[in-house]
Amino acid sequence: MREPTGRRIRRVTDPLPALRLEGVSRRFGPVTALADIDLSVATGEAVLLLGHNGAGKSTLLRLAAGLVRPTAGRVTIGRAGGREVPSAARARIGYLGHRTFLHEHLTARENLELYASLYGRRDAAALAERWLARVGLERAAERVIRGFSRGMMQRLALARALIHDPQVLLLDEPASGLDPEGRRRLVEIVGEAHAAGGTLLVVSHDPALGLEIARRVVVLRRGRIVTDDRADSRSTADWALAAGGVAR
Amino acid sequence: MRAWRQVVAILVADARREARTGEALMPMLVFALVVLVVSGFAFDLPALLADQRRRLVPGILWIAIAFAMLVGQARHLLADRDEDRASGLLCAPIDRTLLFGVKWLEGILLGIALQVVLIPLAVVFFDLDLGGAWLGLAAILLACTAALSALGTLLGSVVARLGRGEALLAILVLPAAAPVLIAGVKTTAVLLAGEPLASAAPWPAVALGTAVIYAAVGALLFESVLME
Repeated sequence: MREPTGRRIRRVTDPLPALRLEGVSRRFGPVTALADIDLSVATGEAVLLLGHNGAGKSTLLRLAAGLVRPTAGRVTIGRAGGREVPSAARARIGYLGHRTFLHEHLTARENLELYASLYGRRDAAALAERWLARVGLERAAERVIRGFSRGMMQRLALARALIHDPQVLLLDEPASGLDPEGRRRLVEIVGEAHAAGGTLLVVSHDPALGLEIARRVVVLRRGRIVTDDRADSRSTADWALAAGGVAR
Repeated sequence: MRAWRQVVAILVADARREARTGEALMPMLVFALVVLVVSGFAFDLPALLADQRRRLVPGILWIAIAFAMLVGQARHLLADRDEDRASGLLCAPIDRTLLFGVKWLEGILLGIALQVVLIPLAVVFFDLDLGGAWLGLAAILLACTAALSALGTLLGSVVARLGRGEALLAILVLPAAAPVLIAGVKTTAVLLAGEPLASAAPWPAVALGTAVIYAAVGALLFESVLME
């Protein structure tokens, strides 16, 4: 079943969590980045992950994306899991991190076609065309991205993360570098993905952005979950304070 | 079918990057040609007897090839650190052993591209008579290039993962490359003397064996090296 934009609509009937971390710890030498994390995110749920710098938010996302191996514990995406995220499970994940993963000497179109092909999509050219339009870069499609602004790179990186229609979206500071128009598109695109049944785990220093999408907030402090509650249980300012930030 | 599409996509992307920047092949060619020219003048090769040239040229050729490949692979692999593109590949549902295979193949292709230019120039510059040695030379070049590429791919990934530079790569690669280079030099010397490949035993087998061992070790360890 597809919505008018051509995006596939998934039915939220799977009782299994889309993402589950069980007893997950991760140490980098003497530093404990994550300690005994238990987190389950239901299919179709949107969760905002808050915390101060070094709380372990980005490590948790990289771990769920299969880029970091846990020191202890188990990561499960859908039905597939273990100490590492298996290849088949990685196909279900769309990850946007601090770095764009983009090739600066390729054009915007070539970058998107590359990632669509890496995720096994036969319709790479059509997908690239569609996503260039969705992130407002159709006029820059044939430009080598080396000259792109930070905001344009971030838009293209968002398209890169979503081009294979992932079921689990892991977004680390997705609004970084975006202007108001870019931020509006981001909220719209991520909101559509969520409405279509996508599961979201969003890291943001800006609770206002995350709370536009998320219905649940998890706060990390020194690698441990200290709060896990409904988003509407507190005001945006209170969430900012709970995360160790400054009220906006 | 999906694996085939993934391999082609990575090869095409990296070939485009190389075609637009020449960041790996150009320094390789410049380095190798400088070694060739300087060695030619240093040893006054044109003035030597054919037999004396045949003793010197294999060493010069393999030093040029090994160091040029080291330069090229370092540029090629360490470029994936920009914007953390290596993580982009690791996120994708691609078998990580296959990923090693693709990067290994790219190293071999860079080596072949270098040799396609270098060997004919060496033949002209050093006035070599290869006679019927072309096939044997191609075989030993391919075996040694495969071994050097496997080493460079694995150890280049270690260096990239550690966030270190090309100097550490040289320190790690060159000792392990020694048996490959000795096999290359010994076999090339036999071939330039007009003898068949079989006469160079056991060196062709050493070259092939190291290629197989380094590739197998690389395929086994690549994922562990790349993962945080």
